Amino acid sequence: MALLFVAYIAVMAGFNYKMVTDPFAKFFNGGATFEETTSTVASGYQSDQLWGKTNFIDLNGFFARATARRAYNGVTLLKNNMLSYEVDQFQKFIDISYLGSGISDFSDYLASIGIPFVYVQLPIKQDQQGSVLPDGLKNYPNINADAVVKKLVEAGTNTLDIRPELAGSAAMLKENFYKTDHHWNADGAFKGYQLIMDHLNQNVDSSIRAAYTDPSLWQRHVLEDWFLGSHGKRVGRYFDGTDDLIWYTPDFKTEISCIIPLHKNIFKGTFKDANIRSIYTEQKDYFRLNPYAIYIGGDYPLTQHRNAKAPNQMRVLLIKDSFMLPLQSFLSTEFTEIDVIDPRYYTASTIAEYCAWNRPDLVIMAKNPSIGDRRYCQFGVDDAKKEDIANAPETVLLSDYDVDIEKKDFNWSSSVIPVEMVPGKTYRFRAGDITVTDGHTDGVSVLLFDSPHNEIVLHEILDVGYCKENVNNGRREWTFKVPRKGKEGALYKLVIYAGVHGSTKNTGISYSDISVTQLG
Amino acid sequence: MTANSVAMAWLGAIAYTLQIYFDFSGYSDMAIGLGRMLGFRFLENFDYPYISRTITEFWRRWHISLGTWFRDYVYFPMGGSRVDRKARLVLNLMVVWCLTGIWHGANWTFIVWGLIYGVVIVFEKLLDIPKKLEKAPTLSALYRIPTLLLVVVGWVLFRSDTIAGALQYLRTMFGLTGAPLIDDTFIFTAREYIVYLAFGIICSLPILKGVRKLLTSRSFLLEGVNSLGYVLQFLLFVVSFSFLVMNAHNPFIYFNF
Repeated sequence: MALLFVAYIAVMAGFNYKMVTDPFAKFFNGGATFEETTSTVASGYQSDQLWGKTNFIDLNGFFARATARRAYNGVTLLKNNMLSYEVDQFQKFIDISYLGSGISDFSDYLASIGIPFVYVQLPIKQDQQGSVLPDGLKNYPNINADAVVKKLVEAGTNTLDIRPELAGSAAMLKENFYKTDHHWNADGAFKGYQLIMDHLNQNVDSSIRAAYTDPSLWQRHVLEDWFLGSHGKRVGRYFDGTDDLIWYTPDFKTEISCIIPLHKNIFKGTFKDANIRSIYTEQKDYFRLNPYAIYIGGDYPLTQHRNAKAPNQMRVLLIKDSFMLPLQSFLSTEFTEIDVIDPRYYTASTIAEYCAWNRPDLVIMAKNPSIGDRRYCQFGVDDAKKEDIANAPETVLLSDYDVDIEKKDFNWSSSVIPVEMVPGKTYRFRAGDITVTDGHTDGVSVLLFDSPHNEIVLHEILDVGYCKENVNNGRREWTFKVPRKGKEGALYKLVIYAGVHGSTKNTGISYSDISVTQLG
Repeated sequence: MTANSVAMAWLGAIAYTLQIYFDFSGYSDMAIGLGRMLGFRFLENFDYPYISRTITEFWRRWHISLGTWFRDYVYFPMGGSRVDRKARLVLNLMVVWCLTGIWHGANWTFIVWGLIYGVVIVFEKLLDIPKKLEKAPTLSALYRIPTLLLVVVGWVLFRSDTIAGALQYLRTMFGLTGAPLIDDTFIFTAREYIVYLAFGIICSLPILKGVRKLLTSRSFLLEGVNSLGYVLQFLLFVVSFSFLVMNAHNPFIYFNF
């Protein structure tokens, strides 16, 4: 027995020798005290670099299941053998009725400036009766969502509750959700897309047509035993198994772009090129990859879809949580412009400001019932009303301005727009035409740049091909607010770049008829 | 320490009873095992204390080294039980148990806990309960119940931060606070930990010791049981290590909504 013990210690030490040698190397170089070094070594088992870590997690999850545990490491096993959130979510009632008030106020504000709004109550992985919850736990997430929906309906907000169709029974949960992840699968998201398009046609504008909601127009793909979801990653593969990865791609012709300003990316081409992140279908790694992000790649403050040939020539703002990723992809086949804002991360302006500046034709907010984050109802409505930003006068500071940026063989190929950028002020940049004169680029960057600190403060990417199509009155514009409080000594400049900054170079761009107006 | 139902309060007390035993005896076993690897032999410190018939027997099975030390260095020098008067015997015992309480911590809960044991041991000593039970097997079996009950109640006092807190918890245990008999938390928790509770209760009984005793005449089978035991212990060790890894495994649930 002692030999087994010693052998185990030797094997673990052998494969994890770096956890001992690296801290001690740092100690001998004077980078850490002896106490810090021994503490680092002693806590090495907590490191993600521990050899065989995922095997230990799998073993521990297996042991937990073998000893009849249903709640483990922040995860609950439902009666239908699907994984869900930790037990706390089902043992405490949290009053989130403020969400209903905030969302209905936002809806009223949009109505006052002529923008229709729809709130979509997304489902969670419990049926509304709570029949799949282990005994002793309550269906608080759904109870809370019921309260929000009730408040919105009473306030007259256009509300679509898709929980009955997607999570009305335990069987529906199995069809529409991943077993080991907290999200719906692509089957569930596709049904959500169908329900939303039908609702828009029937309850918002009968001219909105659902052109592609017939599933026979799409191809369904499956990779078996491919996905260990967010809940599964906490308890390993043997607590409740793994999931198949499911995704849909259209069988019809598409030409779409997906712009992610945060990462200076523009994905352009077919639906697959724009919206599908193929790393998740090419590589399988249960613990390090999250294949749910196959659509779009993740949650970003702002994502923009452009589809000049979409059947509905409309500009739509989607206010999202992570359930939106497959949904926004499906909707990108239907609408010419979709801007998608995640209120948890978007800080460039308030959402009320965004709506007042950009005047989308429709705003859709979709949220699942899991948590009542206040960022999902604090949209800056009070300030927007007080400052009356929707009716702010426009002062033209620059017009009829043409710029030719020549191709250069280094990164910083740009031109500064000769307008002073005053902190706290709002500006609208417009270009009459944008033409690629040399090289190739799918997009161009318009930047708010802090020159003393050499820092890009705001970054907008315009899809050059979409702009050329002159869709939505040829909108090649960007409205933004210069930060009121930046770094000390900040000096802001409005810069146009030949290509997507950080992504392309060796491109020549011609801008014509540039105008800059100040709002308010 | 709070519980919202009678059943949950009892579940908490029983769980703590098991926890403190396995915690403490586990550490002692680690010290014994490591000592043996280096050639030292230490005496067993816990001898299945929860099968005790009397409180007197409990303290011969629980934390044996502590009891032995107090016996040798406090009780015996004071005269032990070889004294002329019963009052002196009572004093000797109460001093030992008061000091035992203080040894566990500088809190009134530990002192009261120690004194309660002192009172019961005095009672058992003066009435010669252990000897009487040897001659009455049925009564001996029944006496285990109040013994174990006192031990569990004692652990509530031991675990509490204050005497008031302990009394409140005990009142809930005995249905004196108006709390319901059962609540949702109890239903969920009991189902969740039933296997661990059962395993804990079984392992606090000398079953393996009994099996070994039965097989002493069958050395081949005994070897098999011992070997199986070693393999199971090793597997349990690896599983224990997996708990260390798991306790530090808290992946950010991206896409929190």
